Amino acid sequence: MNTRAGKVRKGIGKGNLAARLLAAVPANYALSSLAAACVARALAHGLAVSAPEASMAATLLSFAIFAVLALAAFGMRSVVRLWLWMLVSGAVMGGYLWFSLTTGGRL
Amino acid sequence: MALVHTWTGLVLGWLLFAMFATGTSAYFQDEITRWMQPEVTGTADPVASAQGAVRFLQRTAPDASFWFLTLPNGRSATTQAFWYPGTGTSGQTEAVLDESGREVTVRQTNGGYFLYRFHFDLHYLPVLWARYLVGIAAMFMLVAILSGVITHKKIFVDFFMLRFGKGQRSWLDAHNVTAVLALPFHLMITFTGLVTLAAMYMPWGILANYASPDTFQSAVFGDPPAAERSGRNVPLADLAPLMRKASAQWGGREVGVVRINNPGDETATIALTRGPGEAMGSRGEVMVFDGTSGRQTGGSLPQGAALKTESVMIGLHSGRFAQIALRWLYFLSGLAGTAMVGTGLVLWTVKRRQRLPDPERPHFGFRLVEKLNIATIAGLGCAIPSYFLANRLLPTGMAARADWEIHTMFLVWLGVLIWALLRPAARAWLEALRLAALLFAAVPLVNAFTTSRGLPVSLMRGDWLFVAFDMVMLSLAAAFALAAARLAARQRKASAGRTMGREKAVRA
Amino acid sequence: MTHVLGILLALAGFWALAVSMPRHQRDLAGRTLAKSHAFTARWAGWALLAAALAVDIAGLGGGYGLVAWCAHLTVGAWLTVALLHLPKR
Repeated sequence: MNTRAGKVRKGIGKGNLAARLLAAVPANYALSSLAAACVARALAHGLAVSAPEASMAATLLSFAIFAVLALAAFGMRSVVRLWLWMLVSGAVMGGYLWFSLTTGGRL
Repeated sequence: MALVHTWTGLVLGWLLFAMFATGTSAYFQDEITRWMQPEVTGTADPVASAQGAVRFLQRTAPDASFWFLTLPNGRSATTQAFWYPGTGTSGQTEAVLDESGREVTVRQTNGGYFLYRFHFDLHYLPVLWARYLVGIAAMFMLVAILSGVITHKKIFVDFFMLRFGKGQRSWLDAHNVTAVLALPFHLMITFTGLVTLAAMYMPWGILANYASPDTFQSAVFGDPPAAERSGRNVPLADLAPLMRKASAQWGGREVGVVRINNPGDETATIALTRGPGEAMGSRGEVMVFDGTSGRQTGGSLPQGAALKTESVMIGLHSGRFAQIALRWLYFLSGLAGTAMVGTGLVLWTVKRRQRLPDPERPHFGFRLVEKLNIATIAGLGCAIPSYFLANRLLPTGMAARADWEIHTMFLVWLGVLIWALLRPAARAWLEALRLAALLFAAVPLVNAFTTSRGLPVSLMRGDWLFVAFDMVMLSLAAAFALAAARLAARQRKASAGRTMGREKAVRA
Repeated sequence: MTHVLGILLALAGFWALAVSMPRHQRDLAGRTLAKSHAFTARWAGWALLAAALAVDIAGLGGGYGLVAWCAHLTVGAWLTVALLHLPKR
């Protein structure tokens, strides 16, 4: 059982609203963009899907990712965990993208 | 989640309302254009129209870097031509042409096309900014819909529950019914709307694999970027046999769009695209020909799953494939979407009014939302019929006439905004709703007096397009009048209640 | 014609679903139905909605029929709401 004070700290509150908004819009866009780029690379290079197909599939998917992340930014109980998740997945995808671009190049 | 729904819905709700309203009208874009060009009658053959347009452009813009023709289909009778003028010439860059290539100059108008463009390009704003703004609004909409579904799971269980005339509860019910019952449409239209401009909003999927988006475009459409003009004049190949060849290749589906690069030059190319109304996928197949010999040089590749999905999504959004019955259902769903946004906006103020410290003197934020609601909902209700009225009332030969139709619409809209800011909100709502009803009702009347295709005549002749247009105008007039009447009744009741309350207080 | 049939089937389907819910039974008939009747109504409702889909696809083709079905469900649900509220007036 959560106490009322616990709810205020963990739910959407004045103190963490800014952090959630920041996560929901700019950080979310950056993460969705990274996801789109990684999916496009992974499909085209890892799974040998044709490049136009891979790029389009990634683009279509990215809007769904953005919407779900936006909801998660307000739905997750802990802001700290939310940001941790975003930073870690961002770093992983950024690393993959950097590696893939330096080894594979673009058309 | 409820907070997310409330605030994402409000922040761009006014823009979304305008996008939904004008976007809904776009399902009848061609029909609106025909109503706004009452002098143009009959249908046009796409092949003859293309040849006519080429004759027109050879006279008007022989050295253009490209000509772009949107050909007539079963619903429209005119060709939309636009071109990028060569270095020597300037001025005109677009024209509306009839089948034989003559410019339609009487009653110059942008017709339904303007309302269609407004729903994603807005107006008086750089197109790029407008599209980003619209994209952000659409993304907010998607989040608002999803958070609405999550918050109000309950309404799926008792979604037949609608209680009219019970203050806040009835607004909530109206919002729920317009939202939930057309939910497949709302989700589809919002997501696919984002997809129509996906390459602009989310270019990273393409840029991850391509150094330049142009390479991606030509890989998808098989249409290589235009070469430089060589300067050697060679006449253009006849379009008719090429169009017939393309049509045969596509199982009888007709050409919808013709693009000619470097017309009249040795390097000319002709790209033919299948009409968007001919199949559910809106990214039509493309065939590219050498512009002088007429030999086929390229074309779009067969689409894989993702490209096909994108094409069908855009097709679903624009509904150009829909035959007349389905088109009306699209239109009704669009109206429901408009009503969903509108009731949502009103609900924001209704819910908060009781909680205000002093309901007689609300704080600034509340007043702002209320006034913007009036200016948007009732204001657009006044602006759209004004656009149609201007089409009938401005002199037919007036200079920059098409622009003035649009200016009229925005001037009326601005007028309602100023009115809403100056008057008490309760009065302004009532007056603006009544004005909207009057203006919509005036459209069929003014049409009857200014053209030979008024409602009695069109009924007798079986001119169903004109009958339907007038009927929609009258229905919208009735809807606004009904809204005004109910609001007036409620205000009378509320003020009676207040007087009684005051008397009781005095007696006590 | 297919559109009319699709809408009527959707309307009948939603009506049956509404009838299967106790609160609507009280509104319409003044009493609640036996559990077995409510159960039948619920299944009839889903079956009618499925029938609308079958009719739309048969009459209009796969993709087009599916789009039309979504539209017919919406119109059918609107009509159901309207009909449920007529008697209250």
